[in-house]
Amino acid sequence: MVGNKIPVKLNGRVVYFEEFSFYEYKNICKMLISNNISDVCRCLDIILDRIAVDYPLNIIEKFECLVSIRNSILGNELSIKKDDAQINYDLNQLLTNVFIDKEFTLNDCVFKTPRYFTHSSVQNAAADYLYSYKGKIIFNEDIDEKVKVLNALDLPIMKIVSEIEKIREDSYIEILDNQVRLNIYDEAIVLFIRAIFNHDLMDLYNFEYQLLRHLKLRGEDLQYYTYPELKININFLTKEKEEEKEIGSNS
Amino acid sequence: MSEITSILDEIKNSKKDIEVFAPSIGDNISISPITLAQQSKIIETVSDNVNVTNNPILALLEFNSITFTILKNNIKDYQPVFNTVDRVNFVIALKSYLDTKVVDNDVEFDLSKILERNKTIDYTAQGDTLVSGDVSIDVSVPSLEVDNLVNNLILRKYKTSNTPNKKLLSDVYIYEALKFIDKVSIGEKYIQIKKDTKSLELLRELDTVTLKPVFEYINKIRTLEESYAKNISDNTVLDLTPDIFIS
Repeated sequence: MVGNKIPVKLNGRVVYFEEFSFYEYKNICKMLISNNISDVCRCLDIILDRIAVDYPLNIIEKFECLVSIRNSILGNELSIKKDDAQINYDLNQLLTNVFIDKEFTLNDCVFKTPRYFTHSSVQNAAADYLYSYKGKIIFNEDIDEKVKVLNALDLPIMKIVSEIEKIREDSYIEILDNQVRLNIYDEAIVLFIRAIFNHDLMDLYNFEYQLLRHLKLRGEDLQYYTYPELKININFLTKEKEEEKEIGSNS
Repeated sequence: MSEITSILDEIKNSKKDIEVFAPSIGDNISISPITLAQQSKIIETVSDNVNVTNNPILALLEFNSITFTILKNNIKDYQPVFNTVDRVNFVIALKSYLDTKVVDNDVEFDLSKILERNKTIDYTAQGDTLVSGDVSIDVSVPSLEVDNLVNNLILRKYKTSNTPNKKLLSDVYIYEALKFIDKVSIGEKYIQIKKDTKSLELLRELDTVTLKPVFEYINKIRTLEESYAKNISDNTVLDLTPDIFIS
């Protein structure tokens, strides 16, 4: 079977992901019920597994992929209500290099944008930022392996922490009329991604019911259609019903 | 060989040692710089236990306990004779490898100059026999092993139990005496003071007047330790607490 591959432009490179079916998206929403950061991260990793890429993505690339995937399912628009007024934001703006790679050097080590949104300890965070030692790139290595390198070095950990803090302080953007502050280097970004991905499950169940009842689809068919495609089908049905109603009232 | 293994080998082979003066032996010794893992250990140990984080005395004892492990591991030819006066110089040397200057309470400390000056300080920390009435007490500067042993007795008592911390301050005095006292004699009879809770109970039986010369001796040694941590320019004493590696 040929799946539809959608491109995402990442800093001069293009990667592709296979779009999600309605059935898969519904399961994503189930996994995103939890607001526990590690549960959300696990779900985001599952989503990111769909990206066909032969190198490990850093958090900026992951963020851009996740926003692209989200937009392919729910569209580009994000809305919130403020004082009874609706504020809209085009999420595609987040794909225009709003977050940029930062790096710093300490002795023989170069530290760059990390691979993971969250870290269990200061040591793990420092290791995740570690990109190379004396020109040898170890960005792709496991965190545990990189921790071994850092632990063997006599670098001042507080200098690494303070450099990471500096990057964090300088890397935020404000969106939705300054109602939301996003920082790619802050683990709260995970909760933002959760928020834009998530959809009310009861709405999805209701939608599914309409599909099964009126479009005569079977449960297993939902694995082959995407959410936007099914919405189009439902729109066709609604339009058809309206036309029938109009014909009926005219005769 | 994997990239990581080759890097680890490279780091191992390129390790430089720090030369630092040990006052107790009047000579230089070699010590490996403090690793990132050891710095993390200091940060984690001090910040992971609420009792320790909220209590500067426990934090300092914990710091001294970790420092002991680090020194034992990093000093090339560790000698049991190394004591708490040496520790001051060793800790400053470890820090000076990371930062040659430290700012503490708006005062700048030039660690290299301090280490250089410390070679010239008159080392007066000798053992002594102190007499108070019928009782004579043999005292000496605690070795790092003894200091660590007694610190662990206090930490065991206060870190995990619900013993009120206000008792800690009064307890610390008697634990301090335990570190310094080697023997207590009354006439022909004497008892060697082991560094355990049984000896601690025995010391508690001694009255304050008898222990007074011991505390004077302890103060003299602590003052000597401070002289190794004094700033060159204004004599301010650099606090050798976990903050020196955390801030």
